Amino acid sequence: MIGVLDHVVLLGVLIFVVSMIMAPFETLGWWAGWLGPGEETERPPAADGPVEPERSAPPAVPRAHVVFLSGIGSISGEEQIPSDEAFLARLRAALPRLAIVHDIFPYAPSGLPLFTGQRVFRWLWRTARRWHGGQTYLLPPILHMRNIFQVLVAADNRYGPIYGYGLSRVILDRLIANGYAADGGGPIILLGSSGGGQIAVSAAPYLGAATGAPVSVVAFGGVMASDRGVTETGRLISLYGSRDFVYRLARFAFPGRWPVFASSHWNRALRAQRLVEREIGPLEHSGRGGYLDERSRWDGVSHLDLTVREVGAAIRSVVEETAPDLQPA
Amino acid sequence: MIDSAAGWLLVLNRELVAPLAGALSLGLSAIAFDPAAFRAAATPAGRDLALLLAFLAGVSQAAGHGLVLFLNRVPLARFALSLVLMASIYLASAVVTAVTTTLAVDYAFRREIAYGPVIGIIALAQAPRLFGILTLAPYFGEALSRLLDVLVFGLILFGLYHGIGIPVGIAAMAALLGWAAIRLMSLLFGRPLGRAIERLRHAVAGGSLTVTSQNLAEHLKGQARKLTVGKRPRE
Repeated sequence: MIGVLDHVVLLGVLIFVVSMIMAPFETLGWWAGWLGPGEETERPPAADGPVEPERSAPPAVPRAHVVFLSGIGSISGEEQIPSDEAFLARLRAALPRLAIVHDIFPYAPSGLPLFTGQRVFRWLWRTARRWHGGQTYLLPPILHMRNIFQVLVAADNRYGPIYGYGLSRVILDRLIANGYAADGGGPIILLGSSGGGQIAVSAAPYLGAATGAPVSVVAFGGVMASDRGVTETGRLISLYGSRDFVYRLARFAFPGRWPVFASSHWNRALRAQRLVEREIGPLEHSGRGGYLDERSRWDGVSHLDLTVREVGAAIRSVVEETAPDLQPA
Repeated sequence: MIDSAAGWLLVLNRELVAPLAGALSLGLSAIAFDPAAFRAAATPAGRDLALLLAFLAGVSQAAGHGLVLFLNRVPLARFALSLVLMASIYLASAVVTAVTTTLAVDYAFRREIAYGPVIGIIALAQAPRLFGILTLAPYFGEALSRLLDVLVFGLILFGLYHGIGIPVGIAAMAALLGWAAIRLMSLLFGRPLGRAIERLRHAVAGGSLTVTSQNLAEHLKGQARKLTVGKRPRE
């Protein structure tokens, strides 16, 4: 019996190591063109053609565009996790003068959902999609592991620039599809949840270069490394809960965030006050007691409403800085 | 004359599988800091296996450091060819390190040692680089690469001590002198040789490798600036 268990553990370790080594290949293969250029045309191209209808109509002339990059539970841009949907609906109501773009899958440099394209494990992700939110304990950990590895790819100095560039293309595509004027469309705020924070930081410099617009990042429970994007982003507000173990783990796991490395991107941005870390309450990272939990309450409000309130305030403060001459958000 | 499939299998086993298995087995013993492995590498038969191991380590190392090939969008076939070339360069550099270390021990410490055993030991000390491909791992791969560097250096000292009886202190000084000699040679004569190697790498890769890790971000920003040319929001 112990022998079988040993083999299972060994197999698990082997799968983990191989998956980790293979993780950058999606980014590198995409960049090298090995995954096929035809992959990128599954979505409507950005230039020309009609706008896709939004679920709720955006303001006629938005003061700024907010791009939501979801956490590691994401499997596709089109299909939101229920908790993300509730969060976005309330955020949209709280920020009526801003356009919120949400249909982006941030865990692939091509932006393609996991269950389409030339993916080797497409069948696995299709199964995961069918079971998403269902009573299954196997696929979510695999999905989370896969997406965590992509967060690490984005955080890696070697692969991160390619990943960030790829995502900036995807984000730009969706921004233009949502009415953003590429030659002067105003401020862009990348809103990252959990691992989406790192993706936002990686993409920000390239999105800024592409549009010439001020690009800022607001993250809640953001897992972020000391990436060059931290210093090249207009403003970075990192919101976190005091009970968020994952946020604390990221502080430890990414050495560039240790105070001892004073010249790291993270610490330079902190000193320049371009980066602000703000605790918003006794929130956990996910699930019961998490940022998007509607049932848990603190100080008379649900965690979800608290997060919406704090994220809304952070976004408003960024908009005031980057687009002060326009009407209120 | 081989006239049956079984015969071919025997030849394949003798010429390819057995040496590979022997080299890997020797390499794993070296990583476990087994003195017997280094004593074996100091013999002519062991040296051949150690050189094969260094080549395999070079392939793994090249795969781990093959980023520049991806950055320059090198086609798959040329990518594989480039790995073989980079592994050969890795093997050659291990041999050069062994020669300079031998010269350093000979001239600086007045200890006569033969080139062959030192080449075998230093080739075998590259064994940790068998895991060079793991340096592809995102974020933690770079730290792992540094760890492998330290392990290789540690194994060189361990191997020289246990393989041919050179005291660790002298081995460390010799390795340092050997490294300094390589740096000096590369400064004096390295440019023409470096240019030749670069030309060879570019030829094998099928074009100039202009994008590097250092200029990647700026290159991509330049690409990003072109993304919005002619793009307008949909009416």
